[in-house]
Amino acid sequence: MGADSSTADLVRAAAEGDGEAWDEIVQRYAELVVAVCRRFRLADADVRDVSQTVWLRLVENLPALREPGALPGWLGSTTRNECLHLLRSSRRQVLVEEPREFPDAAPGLDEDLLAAERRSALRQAFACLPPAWRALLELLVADPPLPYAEISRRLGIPVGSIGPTRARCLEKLRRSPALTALLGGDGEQPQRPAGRSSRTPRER
Amino acid sequence: MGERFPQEPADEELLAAVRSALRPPQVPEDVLAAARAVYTWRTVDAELAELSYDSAGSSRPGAGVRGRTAALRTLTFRAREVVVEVGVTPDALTGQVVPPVVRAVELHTTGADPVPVDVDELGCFTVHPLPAGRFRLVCTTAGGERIVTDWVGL
Repeated sequence: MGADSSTADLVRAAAEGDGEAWDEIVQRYAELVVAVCRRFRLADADVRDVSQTVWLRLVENLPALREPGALPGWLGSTTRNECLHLLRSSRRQVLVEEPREFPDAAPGLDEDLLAAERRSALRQAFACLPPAWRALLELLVADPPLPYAEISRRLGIPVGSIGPTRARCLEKLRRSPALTALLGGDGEQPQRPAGRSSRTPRER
Repeated sequence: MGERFPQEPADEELLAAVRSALRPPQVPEDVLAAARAVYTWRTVDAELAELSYDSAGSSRPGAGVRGRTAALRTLTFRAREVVVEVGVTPDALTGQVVPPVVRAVELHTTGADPVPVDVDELGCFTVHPLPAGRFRLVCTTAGGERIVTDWVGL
């Protein structure tokens, strides 16, 4: 069980002992846990602490997650609670009087959850593409960008086929069940992409 | 090339999102490694005793201080038929499993091997010195069932 699976399937598989499923869960959601910690402005050492506690909790809670698809929400709220707990704990009393000082943590959490779900859906949709298309897309999103001539050389495909294939790949991605479920529509593009779109990976 | 295949902005956005989703998580490497590694702590065939009360998580820290144990912090873990109460004193954990159905208690920490903890016929136990960092307790009942508490950090 790996990247081409839904989060719900990954949770069920990890609960049954599938270590690869666990690794993919971490790939998808490690950023979410750290992002929530950062919203509370935790020091690096505390981020490590909270993150490990949250993942340890998840290991034991995998079988109990009643709705495996609700994993992002579970991770988000468990992380938030651990952060609040840490900030309230006695050794930090002098620094922090009331947890009410962090009223913006809740709206921020929604944003972090959205980003995590988008990452998860895109990883799944990408992994479901045919291998040749995955290879092309990987080169198209390379950083720094590769010229089409170089992509053509590496994959042994004509330069002229790259643009049309790219368009088909993206169309397929857009219509993938993982992405359409996330967008709740009929295959519109993501409203708020997770990355910057300033780079254009094509020949100049 | 660009002129021959005019790019829709939507395509660029989608590509950027793919680029972001495919790169490794933007978190420190040791955080990532630790998150992967905790899977080895998975317990099979054990019932989870969830942390149901933590005096440090209540709105008034110190509310958990009780006369007899003078604990700085009290934790309650609940499984279906067993409750594990733990008090944190300056130099030890004092606890009790209720009802006293537990035959053995083990202390698990992420940094060391499990340590057996003596438990008396009333289900009382003491862990001394305090565990460093995160810990959990694994209780085995007379019937051989295992109950693991949530992980907590002190």
